[in-house]
Amino acid sequence: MTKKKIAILGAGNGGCAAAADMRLKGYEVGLYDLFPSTLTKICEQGGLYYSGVIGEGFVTVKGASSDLGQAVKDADLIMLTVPGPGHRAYAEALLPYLKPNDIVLLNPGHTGGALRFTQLLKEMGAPQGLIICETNTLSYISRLECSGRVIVSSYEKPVMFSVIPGKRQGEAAAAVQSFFPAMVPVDSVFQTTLSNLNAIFHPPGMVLNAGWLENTNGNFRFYYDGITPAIGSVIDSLDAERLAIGKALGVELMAFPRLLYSMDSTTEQAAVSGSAYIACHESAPNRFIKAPETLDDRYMHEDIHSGIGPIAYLGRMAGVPTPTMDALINLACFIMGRDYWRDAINLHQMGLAGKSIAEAKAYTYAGY
Amino acid sequence: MAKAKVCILGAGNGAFAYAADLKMKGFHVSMFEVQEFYEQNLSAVAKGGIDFNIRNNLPICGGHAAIDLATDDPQAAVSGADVIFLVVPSFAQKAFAKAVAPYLTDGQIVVLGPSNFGGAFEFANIMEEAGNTADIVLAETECMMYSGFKDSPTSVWVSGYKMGMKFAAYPASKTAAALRAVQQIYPEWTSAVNVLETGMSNVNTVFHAPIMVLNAGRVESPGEFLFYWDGVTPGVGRVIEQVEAERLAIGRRLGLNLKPHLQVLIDWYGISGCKGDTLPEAMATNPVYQWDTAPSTMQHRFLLEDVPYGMIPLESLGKITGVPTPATTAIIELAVLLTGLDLRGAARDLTNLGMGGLSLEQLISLVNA
Repeated sequence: MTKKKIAILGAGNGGCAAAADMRLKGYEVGLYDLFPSTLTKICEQGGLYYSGVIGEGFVTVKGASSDLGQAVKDADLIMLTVPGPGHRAYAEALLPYLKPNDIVLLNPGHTGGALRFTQLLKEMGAPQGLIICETNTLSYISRLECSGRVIVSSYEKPVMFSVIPGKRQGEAAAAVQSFFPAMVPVDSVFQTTLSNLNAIFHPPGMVLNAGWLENTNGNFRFYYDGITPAIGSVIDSLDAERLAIGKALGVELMAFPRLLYSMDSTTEQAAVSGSAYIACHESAPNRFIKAPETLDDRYMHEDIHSGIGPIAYLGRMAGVPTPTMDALINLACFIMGRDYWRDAINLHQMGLAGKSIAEAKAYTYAGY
Repeated sequence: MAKAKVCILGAGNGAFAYAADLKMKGFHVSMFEVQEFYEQNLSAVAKGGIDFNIRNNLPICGGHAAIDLATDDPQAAVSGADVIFLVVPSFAQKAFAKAVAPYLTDGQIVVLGPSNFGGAFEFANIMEEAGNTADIVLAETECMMYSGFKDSPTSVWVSGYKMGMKFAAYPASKTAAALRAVQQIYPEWTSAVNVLETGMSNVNTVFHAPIMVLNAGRVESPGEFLFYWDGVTPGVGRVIEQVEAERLAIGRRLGLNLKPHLQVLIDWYGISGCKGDTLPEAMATNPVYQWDTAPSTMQHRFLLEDVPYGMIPLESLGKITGVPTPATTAIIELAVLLTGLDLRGAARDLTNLGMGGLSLEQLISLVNA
């Protein structure tokens, strides 16, 4: 029996954790990054040093390569572990190597990931018959101690994944679950795309603590200190808008406290409380995490660009008002001197421009 | 010529400062607090007067101010007063207006300092409800004369004294005569076009809520920080500048030439060393603000007063003039959530004042009449 191969694109914190994990399970791994320097150490040492919950040691990763063709050759699954703003560049790089029936998994998708990736490939003239999947959040918690050395604090998280086109979910699930049996298939891409945890609590934490962060260079614990009861109320309101959008699009979403609990990131009491403040305050894994040192951080840019920005746009498609999200995004624009409305993933980029809810659902089921 | 008799309505930080300073300047000063709070806020002054302390290099004198009358009897307080200063937070103006309205007599000048938006309109409505048709003048200033705080039931310190404020009567045709009278007390005051100008010119409206909202976590967390010096960071400053730009644009559509707040700070506090090329810079380094610590709760007048009586009326003026207010509206939305209060329901905007049906032209005619 030929060994199964997974191609991992993006050799950052998530990608290296996945590479080590997959190699330890005996799979062949192709590992690629758009920035060749990211791979230098791994190529030099012939693999990765790993520690944490997957054990401690060294595993070979012979498939680390700055040649994308080599990395994806004969792969049974292509997985991207890159930030949302990186999707376009990876789509462009991947285009020449894609064949009908290839399965691509965005881990995570961030909001709008699979929709946008599908639209990008369509615009670039990719072959039909591709299957694009996304998880709602990265299935690993990990960080690179330094280049070539990864610490994994969580793996096999029971994240959700969705499929475009939805009609090929069975086929996609077989491939995805052969590598990641803990991942849970859900029927609608709107379920994963609206379950972007970071989009819910990062922008409020940044905007409503903008002064504190700038004045002290982030000298407070982002979740434990930064999400106070009043700020929790803002997150609750943002979350209610998100749930209403989900409902309008036909998906029953988990409220934020329960979502955080499902990621093993807070207590059951917190989940039951329904309070974002309690959920954040009782989040053991997040307790000691400090705020970023500057507002110029992915908690602001990425979690709006690939987070509440596209969620607000989906709100417009769904006819659901989003005054809380709009207020936070507008303030972020002024604080940062950036036009997040212009730059965030929009309906056109998600392939949904001008579509009604019914048309959008039909599109995600049937593909293009 | 005999010096004017003044009455101060209120017994908080501002009221104490007005009363003490004017007494030190030789005016007859009476003070009034509503019965419910008299014991707590003013009774000690009846016995012991007010100790008035000056910080920074201000052109006024400190000392012991032997207040002539400190009472919870509204008629006694206003009787014989030439000028009556209402110096209370905007949400308390209604109660004080109702207390004194029956006793005001011809020729008395009532100055709301500050008014925030709609103070004179609201007082006029209350005079009508009280059935008092006396020929009084209702007027507003855009802010308070003093920056300071009470530090005991009988003492107050001030670190800021404004060299000139704008004054407008409602309607504006009464401004000139009333200003001449009030200039005997505050010679540096000048006239504003109308009460739309004064109502839109309180720096509190632009300053307070954005700093609260964008420092919300730190406000609620243990530990102190300086409201302006620590709270106005570059990012926060950019939001304040945007709110200020929205205010100025609305002012232009109303036919007003509003003074930018940067200029206001320099005019008022330049004497105390305030300077800067931009509004945030001036705010974050103003020596007058060096002792101003931030509130420790969202339940504070910086949101409870400055949003319903400042930002929400500003937003409504934006709608009537067609000026978009993304920053002002965003701050309002978040203030509502952060306080958990129906700030819009409580707001003193045109609709809640019974003026919601007016066109822009009608509103301008009404205030200028």
